[in-house]
Amino acid sequence: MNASTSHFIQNHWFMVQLRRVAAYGSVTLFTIMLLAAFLLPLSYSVLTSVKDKQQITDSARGSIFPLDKVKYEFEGKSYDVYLVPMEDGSVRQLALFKAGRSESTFIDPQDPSAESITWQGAWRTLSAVEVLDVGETSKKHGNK
Amino acid sequence: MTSMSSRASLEGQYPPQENKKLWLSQSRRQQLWGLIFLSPWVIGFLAFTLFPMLASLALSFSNYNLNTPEKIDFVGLENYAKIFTDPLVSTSLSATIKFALIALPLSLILPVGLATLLNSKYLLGKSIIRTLFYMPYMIPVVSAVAIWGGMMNSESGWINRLLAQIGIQGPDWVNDINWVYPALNIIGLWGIGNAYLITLASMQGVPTELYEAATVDGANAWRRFRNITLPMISPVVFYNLVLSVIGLLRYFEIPYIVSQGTGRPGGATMFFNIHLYKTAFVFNDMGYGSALAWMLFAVALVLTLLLFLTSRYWVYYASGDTF
Repeated sequence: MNASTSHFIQNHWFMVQLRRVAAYGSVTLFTIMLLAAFLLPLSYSVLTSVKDKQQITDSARGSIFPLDKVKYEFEGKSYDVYLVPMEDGSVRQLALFKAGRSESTFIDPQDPSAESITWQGAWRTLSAVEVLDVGETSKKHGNK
Repeated sequence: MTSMSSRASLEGQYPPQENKKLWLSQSRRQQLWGLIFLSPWVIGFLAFTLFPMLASLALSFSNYNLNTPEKIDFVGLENYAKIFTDPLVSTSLSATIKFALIALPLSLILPVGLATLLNSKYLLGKSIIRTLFYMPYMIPVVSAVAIWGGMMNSESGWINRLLAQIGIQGPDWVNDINWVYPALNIIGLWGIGNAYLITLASMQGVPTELYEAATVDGANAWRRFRNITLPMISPVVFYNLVLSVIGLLRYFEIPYIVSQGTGRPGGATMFFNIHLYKTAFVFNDMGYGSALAWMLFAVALVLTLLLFLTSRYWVYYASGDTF
């Protein structure tokens, strides 16, 4: 067996193996994608099963996951935390202290003793800070 | 001498001639025990199948109404004549046929396609994937419809959300007259488990020598599927076809849960069986309801017989048996 024959055999073997891997990979990947689509409603039911009523209502337009708004306790009251774009271009997580139509007052949960921040704009356009919650809220509301 | 004496002694041991008739032979005794063991099923069949069928046949010739049972009267073929003038019969038959035009091909093609894919030698993790494809079949219909109802919600359903991701505004699946049949078919996909499993088992029973011989003869994958797999699994395809046709005629649970039996949108989900159910158990018109049931039975019987007649032309039985 000369060198060129040996090289041809090696090449052929490599191509056969490559074709085998491609066939296994494509068929298995396609089937897994089909299976994922087929079982998608099961994922929906599993996620719905860990949501409380409020989360189900919220998820109608928001995330598909069981998320809860982050609350900040200040002087015995609870305030929602929002992502607030600042003038310098940064985005800060601030608690909505006093809501207004065109300007609202926020407090910084990191430094509540600091002066409150007045933000110009409609607070309803802001995104609330949310965290994944599959148990705490249900315990709190007791409605699972 | 010896044999005569032994026979005499044996005869002496038998009971007298009168008592002999009371003793049952072994085969008779076996028959009796067989009947005793069969009797629970026979009694159940008579009480819960045959008798109700005969009762419904008798009721179909009466004006029996559960609200006024005392006014039962023989009306002859009046109920059967009413079937041809009842506008809801044509509406419900039309809905059933329209749905069947989509559902019947799907119920034949999808199990074969899925079984082919899951029978592929290039598929890794066959066992777990086959089990997962079968899994939704075990979910009760009511739960499955509730889950799919959430998935197909026009506002918050995952299907429309996914479509929105690629810039398509999803339809109002179950409330749009143009989309309700595709929606019902998608929900019905979860019931594919049994049909695909039987088809898969049938595919696994095809002798490998046939494929080897075809490959040697130069047949490609499609030719092998077309000329070996399909003929060899044709009895199972035929079985799926018969079950699908009967299942379509008695299609009830999914549309009833989706529309609460109202037939919305626009009468599209008023399938024949829902009309039958409402006539008999909502309006309590058992006489006419029974006539509708017998009409359904007759149609199912005729279609099944027609399928069996055609089977000799396209169903292959290795044993040579045909119906």
